[in-house]
Amino acid sequence: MDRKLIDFIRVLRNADVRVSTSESIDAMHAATLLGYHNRELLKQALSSTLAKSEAEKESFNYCFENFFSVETPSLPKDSVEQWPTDNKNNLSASDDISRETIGDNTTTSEPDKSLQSDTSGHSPPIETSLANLLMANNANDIAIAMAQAGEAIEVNNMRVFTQKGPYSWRMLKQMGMDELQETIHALEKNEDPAQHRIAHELTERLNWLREQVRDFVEKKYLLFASQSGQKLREEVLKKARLSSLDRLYHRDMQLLVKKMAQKLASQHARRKRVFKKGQLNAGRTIARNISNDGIMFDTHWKSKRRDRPKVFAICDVSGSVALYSRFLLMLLYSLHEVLPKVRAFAFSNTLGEVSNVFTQYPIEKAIELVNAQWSMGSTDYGQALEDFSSLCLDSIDNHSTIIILGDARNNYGDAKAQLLKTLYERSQRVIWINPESKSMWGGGDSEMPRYAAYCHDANPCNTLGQLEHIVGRLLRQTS
Amino acid sequence: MHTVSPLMTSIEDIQRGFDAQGYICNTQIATAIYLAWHLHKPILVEGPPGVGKTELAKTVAHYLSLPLIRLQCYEGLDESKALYEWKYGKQLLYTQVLKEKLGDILNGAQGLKESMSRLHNFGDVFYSPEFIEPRPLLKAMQEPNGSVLLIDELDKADYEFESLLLEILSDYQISVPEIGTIVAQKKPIVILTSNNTREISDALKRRCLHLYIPFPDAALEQRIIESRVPELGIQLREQLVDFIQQIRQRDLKKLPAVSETIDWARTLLLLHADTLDRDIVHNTLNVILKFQDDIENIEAELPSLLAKKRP
Repeated sequence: MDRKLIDFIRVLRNADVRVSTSESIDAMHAATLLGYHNRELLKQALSSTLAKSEAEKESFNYCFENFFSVETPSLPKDSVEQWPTDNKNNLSASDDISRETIGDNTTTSEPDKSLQSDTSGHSPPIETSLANLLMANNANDIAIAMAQAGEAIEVNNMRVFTQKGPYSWRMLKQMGMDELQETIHALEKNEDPAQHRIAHELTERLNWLREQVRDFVEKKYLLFASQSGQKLREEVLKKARLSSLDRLYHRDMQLLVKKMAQKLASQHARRKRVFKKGQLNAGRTIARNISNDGIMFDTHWKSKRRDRPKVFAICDVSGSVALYSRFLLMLLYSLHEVLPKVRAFAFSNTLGEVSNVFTQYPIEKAIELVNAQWSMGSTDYGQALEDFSSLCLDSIDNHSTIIILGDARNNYGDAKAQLLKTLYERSQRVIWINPESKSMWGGGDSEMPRYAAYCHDANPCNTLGQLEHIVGRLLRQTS
Repeated sequence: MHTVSPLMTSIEDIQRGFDAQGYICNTQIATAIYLAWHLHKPILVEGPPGVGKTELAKTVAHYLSLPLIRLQCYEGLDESKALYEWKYGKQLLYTQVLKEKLGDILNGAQGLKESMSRLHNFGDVFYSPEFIEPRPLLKAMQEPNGSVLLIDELDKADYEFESLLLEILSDYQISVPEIGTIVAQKKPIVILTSNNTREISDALKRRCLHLYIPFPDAALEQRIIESRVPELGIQLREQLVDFIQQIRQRDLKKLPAVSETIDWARTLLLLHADTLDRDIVHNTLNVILKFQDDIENIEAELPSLLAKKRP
């Protein structure tokens, strides 16, 4: 049973539930304490020891239901009446049991024995154990046999989806498919029409079993392996150029951005102060120790507060740059916990504030709306800077960070770099994020070199990984 | 292991015992308490405000007849308020007493060496258990018969405070640098609550069992009201719980919690209402809804909300 539990923990880890070793030990203690006989109780016990947040509880419930259940395959309907061997009562009763008892499938050891049974298949028409199993019409037994075969070939080790085929085949082999096929072959050679009928029936049922096995393997794949593929994809997506990505992946990317934001937030939500080691805050110490007759028992040290910067994000939403703006805005607004003061501005030829769109609507919807409203027209950085200055030059102080995202391709218009200079002097930081690589800066209508002179930081950024890096640096800032 | 307590032998017993205390709970909660007792693990209870997280700790304490020691967390809570503090005043007095005695002790001492050894022999009590002022956490460790330690609204405390708790939660001990380690006389039952305003660190979660208490479903809420406000008529109780459950489906700033349902039931009782009609709901809506926006929202929908309940 412990093995089962370890397998289950692996499934949980696959489903993004973080389980540490000590938690696994707790889970085992809890399971021993409560026993395995009550499914609901076991679920509650494991849930309180393994899943430690609301989201994790949800994944846990899903995994538990799928893992600790012996799926009894539905039998081929039409054949149930034809065979005298089946008894319906027995079947429905055992169905109930299989729901209740967890991991019961490890106790019996039918197929092991059956595999060694003789494979001659001559005189009595139905000889091999698999044939017996299929003809007996007992869904419960079939389920058990499948689970055992699965364990024997270690179906849990499956990693990628191309393995599904080979694993299904090996499982059928393990269950005794070869012998069954021989039997069918032998029966077909026989003259007796009754035997022919049996052969036909057996073939039907074998096909049915194939389907069941395929479903079984598919399920195991979803449980054990699908996540490792996902992880690989996330790694690749993080490093891919955003502009070259297919629309197909946008959903994945959104999830990835959310994850990233969560990580950044938890990294930076913690420390609000940085203590300067060894510098006594003399005033505070004296004040706090007056009650001790002026004797300095209670010492206080100097610290500086970590800054929560006021962020002004100015995004070019025209054409190809729109995609980058999309992810920047998504990341910034997902970071609400650590960056409460974000104001967003969008422009193509004129600029306007879009912060209230983001407060009113969920992020994805807000981005759609912003794109629809502002992405018309050819880019004019000069005009955008002028609009921005007139909108909120007054509210920019030495705690403000201005992030400008754009390719600085100004269609040969007036760059008005002096406006950026004013912003540069007033604000704490001006960060320019340019989706084009540095070698392209200054070519054609790109005004990047002129703008870059008035930026604290000008970086090319065309992957999510780089974006994460830049925003991470922003959060680390102290004043 | 805790000494075997007849109160903690089975989950059903716990559930029944809590029932008798007026705390109606599902098996999930009882299982968590059972595990916490037998595995010596703290429980981290999360859930929306007002579902009875703090009440759970009180009930456990009452059920086991143990003292409840409560530590309310807030921003800026530090070890001198949570763990222990030195009794500075007393220490000052002690130094003064020592100063007066100094002459007697050193009387006739030859040289510095002898004076020092005499001083050492006098006994060093300046930093000793006598001068420690125990705060809730230390107090819970010192209870001879065990206790229930409630660390309330942990999410309000600073991140650093969580690290302070780790030693207590995993080993039930506190290290005082000047004295050494103080081990719990009897392991307390620790219940931590959090309203989820921020994520609790993984290190802390790892050491705890986790219990999530959601809003109760209609049947459970009926039972809770029945146990808490038994004077309320059955019909009105059903109407009331129905109404609350419907409101919880709405998009509101603050959803009414169980504690508010109970308050409302008491209010209706006080006003001698015997059925939920428009006037009475209109007049008492401020008991369950705490934002003007919410009240206005629901008020506009009152006719439909009330009509739905009538079969």
